[in-house]
Amino acid sequence: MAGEFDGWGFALGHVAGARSFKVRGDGTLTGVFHEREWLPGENLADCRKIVGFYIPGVGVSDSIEPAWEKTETGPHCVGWSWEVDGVQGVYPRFPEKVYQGFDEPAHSMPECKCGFYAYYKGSLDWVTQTNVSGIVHGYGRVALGERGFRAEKAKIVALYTPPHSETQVQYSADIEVNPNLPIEEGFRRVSRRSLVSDELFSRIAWRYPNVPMYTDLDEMLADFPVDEPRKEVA
Amino acid sequence: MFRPTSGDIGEETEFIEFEPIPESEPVKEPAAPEKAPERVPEPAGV
Repeated sequence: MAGEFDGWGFALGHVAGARSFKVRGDGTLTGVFHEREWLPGENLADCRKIVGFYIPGVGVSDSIEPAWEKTETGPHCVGWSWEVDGVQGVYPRFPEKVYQGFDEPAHSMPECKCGFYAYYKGSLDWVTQTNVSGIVHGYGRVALGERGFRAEKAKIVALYTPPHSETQVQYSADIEVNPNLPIEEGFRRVSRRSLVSDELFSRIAWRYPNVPMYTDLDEMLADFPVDEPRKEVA
Repeated sequence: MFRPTSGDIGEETEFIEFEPIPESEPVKEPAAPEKAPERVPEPAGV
């Protein structure tokens, strides 16, 4: 845990976990929550912690607040108030967010939540999205959790793209969140509502030419196993 | 959108820097043997 952090250990190799991706129409894979594009090959994490707001021509304001102006019809938002080095002003639009850099001295991965996430077990199925899942290898600085990890660097090593489901399973009891679901079952649930058409399959393959794409789950897990969970999650 | 257990990796118990093991170079197929140069007959009578 962050408060108990006493330095980085060192190891050779990588950790292997499963995760889902959103798929854009052109075959590009992105994160599900943070829709950042995954590249073929190595991906380097950034930190999404907001440390300020960029005010053009002025600098970075630590915080902003809506600025209101009284009118005959009631309060009217005229922009966002900012303060930089004791100087205050109002910027008419929502200013650009400034994120903390991953390698800045102030940044601490143990105290942050950034990195590429992947799992040893648990539910993988997201509904209402065309998603695929697969295996990623994480390396660089890695936080190891009980049922998954988050890593500074990651690459997709295999994708599970089952054929388009003939019958779409309704989103009912079988999507109950289960953090201890064996990863094989997590993948099988995804396959029951696969929205990957033949055309989309080809586009994904074109975007990620060096990543093997499997329609047979057992074959993929034999070739690219997921690391063992560390212990049961309550 | 339904959100499964994503983002929850459980209690973080270890922080390790992993140095990836370099992938071995793919074994290259042996190059096709070059065609033996055709033997040029020596000029006669030299």
